Amino acid sequence: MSKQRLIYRIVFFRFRSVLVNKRVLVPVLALTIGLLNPLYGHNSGKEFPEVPHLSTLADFVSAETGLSFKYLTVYFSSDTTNTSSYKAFQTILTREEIQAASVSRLHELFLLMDHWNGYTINGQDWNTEANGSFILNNTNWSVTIDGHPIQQTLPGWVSFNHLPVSLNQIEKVIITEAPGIYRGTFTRGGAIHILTRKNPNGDSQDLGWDARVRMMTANEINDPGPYAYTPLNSPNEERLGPDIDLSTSYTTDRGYLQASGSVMRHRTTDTPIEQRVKQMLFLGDRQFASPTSKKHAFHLAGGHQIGSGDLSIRTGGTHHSEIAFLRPYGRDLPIQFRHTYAGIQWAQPLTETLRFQGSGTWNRVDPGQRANREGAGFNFSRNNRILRGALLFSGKDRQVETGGQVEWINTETWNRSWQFSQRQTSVYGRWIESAGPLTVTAEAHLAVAEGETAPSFTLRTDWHPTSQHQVTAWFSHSLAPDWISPDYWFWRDNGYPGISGLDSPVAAFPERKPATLSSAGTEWNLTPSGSFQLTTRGSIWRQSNLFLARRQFQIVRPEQWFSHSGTTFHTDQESTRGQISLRLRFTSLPGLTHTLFGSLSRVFSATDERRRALQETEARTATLRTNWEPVAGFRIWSHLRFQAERTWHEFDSVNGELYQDQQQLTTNHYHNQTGPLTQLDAGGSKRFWNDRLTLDLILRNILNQPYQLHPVGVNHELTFFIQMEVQL
Amino acid sequence: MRRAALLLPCLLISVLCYSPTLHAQSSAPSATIGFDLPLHSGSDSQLSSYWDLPSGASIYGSFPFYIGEMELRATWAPMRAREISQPDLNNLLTTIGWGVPVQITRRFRMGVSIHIGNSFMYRPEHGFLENPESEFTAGFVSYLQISLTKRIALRASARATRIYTYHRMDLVHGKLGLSYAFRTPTWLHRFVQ
Repeated sequence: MSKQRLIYRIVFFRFRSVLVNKRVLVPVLALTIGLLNPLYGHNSGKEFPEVPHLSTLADFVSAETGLSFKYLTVYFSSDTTNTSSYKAFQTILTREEIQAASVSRLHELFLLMDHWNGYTINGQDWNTEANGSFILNNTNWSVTIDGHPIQQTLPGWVSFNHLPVSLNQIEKVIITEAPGIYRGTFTRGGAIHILTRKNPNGDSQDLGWDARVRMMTANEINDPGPYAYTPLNSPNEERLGPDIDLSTSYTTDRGYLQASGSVMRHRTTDTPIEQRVKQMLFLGDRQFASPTSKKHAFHLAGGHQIGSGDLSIRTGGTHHSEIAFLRPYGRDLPIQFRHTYAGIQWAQPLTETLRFQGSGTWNRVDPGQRANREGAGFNFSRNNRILRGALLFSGKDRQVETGGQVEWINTETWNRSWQFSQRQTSVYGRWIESAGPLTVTAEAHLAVAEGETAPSFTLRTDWHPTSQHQVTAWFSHSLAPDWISPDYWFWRDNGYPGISGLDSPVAAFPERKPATLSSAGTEWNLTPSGSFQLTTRGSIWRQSNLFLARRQFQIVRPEQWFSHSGTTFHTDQESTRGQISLRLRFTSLPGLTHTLFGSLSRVFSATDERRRALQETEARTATLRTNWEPVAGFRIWSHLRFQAERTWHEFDSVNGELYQDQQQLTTNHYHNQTGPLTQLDAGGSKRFWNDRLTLDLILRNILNQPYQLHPVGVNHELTFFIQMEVQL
Repeated sequence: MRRAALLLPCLLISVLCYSPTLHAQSSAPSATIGFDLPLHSGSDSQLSSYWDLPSGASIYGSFPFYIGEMELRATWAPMRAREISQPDLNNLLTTIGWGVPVQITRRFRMGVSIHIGNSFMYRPEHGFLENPESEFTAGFVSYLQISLTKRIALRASARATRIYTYHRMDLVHGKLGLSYAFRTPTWLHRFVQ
């Protein structure tokens, strides 16, 4: 290894102007000192130590306002790492990274996706976006598990915790964060590919049986405790878990078989809301709905090599009851949800350079809301059947893929009072041409349904001028007719079914033009060594012909029921948003890794209603993740997040005021706001018993700063998690 | 105290960073089991206006953990109501702690540690709101230990524990107990490492 060193001096932060708030300053300084102590302690007054990769030196300078952290001087060796394996607009989370961050529920994976942003109302379900693209426009990204496409799990809302996979089965998550064709489907916001472990130790060749059990339980602070018996009584707080995952697999040199089951419990309500849920969801004969949501899931997967081809299957089912569902009624209406699916894939090499892939998938989702005392409610089911075939040519400098897909969708209410069937047919092609350091990718996708066509295309260039640099740029344009979002049919034809207010909902909906999206992005990645990576990214998103529906609600007492009292429609809405971001990952001492990320989003232009619907301030996000493994088998980590205020309206506010804790029970408005948020999570994990037992202790929201997102949302308070995984 | 939970991981990180220094001071690789009884129990004025903390007991076990030692402890701390309108409560504190012992002389040893855990409160009798309740706890411990024999020691400790209920509960215990040290069993050493 070459000893020649490069020196980079990076102006890091001037905390004086940023952290004038004492509430922020104290914990940040405490954390900073904690993190940098090893650097200061080891290096102060001494020659810089000989470490194999990268070292850091904190340069503390005094300032008028006290201690100021002015510069971070980074030294690193000149050992170079070729960036050819790096792919722009892509994030990869390995099992080690997921475990190192003590992820305890699937939705917490979003916390590790730096370029993704999102919000959650109930702590279980997240509405997310990549690169500041789409928030409030449903979900425009897709999910696959071992290549099998998984449907959106709730109308217009992906609950990551409903995905049919157990957390302890995940080997790797590959997140693509740009528009493109993934598994035959054009997704405007990227895709998340979850890969499960096929043998006991991931990529190694260990074969045979493997069985694992994972358990997690958590509790928010601020329960009433013994003061429940006194005049100092206070609302109860939420409890998470116990969550239990059981998974087992058997692997041979030609195939594998997996089975897993999951249980998830989430007590979502405090005492007053619990009482309200019981009132609303009176089931008769002294039976009440439970304020605790429960998920049960079972999955079965397998694969086998037959001749030169590979066959894989995946099937399973999920039943989740009493989900505290936000949209569109408000958080307080639990629904129950069922999801069953099955998928089969076949990959067959035809020649040395030509390969065939075929797959068939069936998904059925059944969300339903229990009827209230007035008998109002909704139930509907959606069936998706997808057949897909593709031919892939892989040459030395050229890759070509072409394929087609047919999707049959059938949506109906359970009593069959409303039914909608549709067939979507699509063809696509992808051409990747490499010439020296330059790679050009062109993709085109054409979908047809309802007599309309939806063309989409993407053009992308990747340039590797040196082994340390990579520059990528893409442009994408797509058309999105109504049928692109199947859930829309349900809401269009039913308005808010079962709730008074829309007597003729179908007639009330105006004609819409197909929405269009044009987007572009660029990224520069610098990887001078294996322990240093700098990524800058920018993207811009232009949406036209958007359709907005603004709804007004009133609360009906005593059931505290949201009653729909009117809707105003707005067509031809448009907006242009952009985001820039910077991510720096570096390893200081061996085993001590930091990831610093910052992003800035801005709405450049928008029509009035669109801007009103998306009442965001200029979104600013900064995160610092630190992971330290001082010795093998023992890890500690911290995750500090700053986020500027983000507000939006789901429904019209009656009086325009923000609601406070419990006021939602008595006032007639609905307004959402996150932040400004300063959140600190930290935890540690220890592996025992020759790495067969892992114990995690996690503290989330250590600053105990309320989100103001929802008065009883999870992580509203400091939450203490215990998680344990055993390999049997 | 509101930021105590934040300072815990920072303190942990900070102290671990001085591993070369502390490692020399760490104890021999021996495990300990013991019990102690409270000589004095106190609480914040708000809690003490409703309940007394009359007695209780702890059992614990500790073992070497890289730098310093880890302690698992269960403390039974009953709460006796001052008025008939409140019920008596049982409080079981289960904590995991980490600290750095320092051998002052051959016989004297002292240490400080931090701990986090769970407070499990329940009514010993049936009645209104009898569902048990759990809450996060965190706190500090300091102790002084005098070796009576090669294996048996007398340990005096002071523990400050905060239970993070909506109205915080601060408990202070002065304790005295006996501990028994033994060589860390191979299976435990392997299990931990």
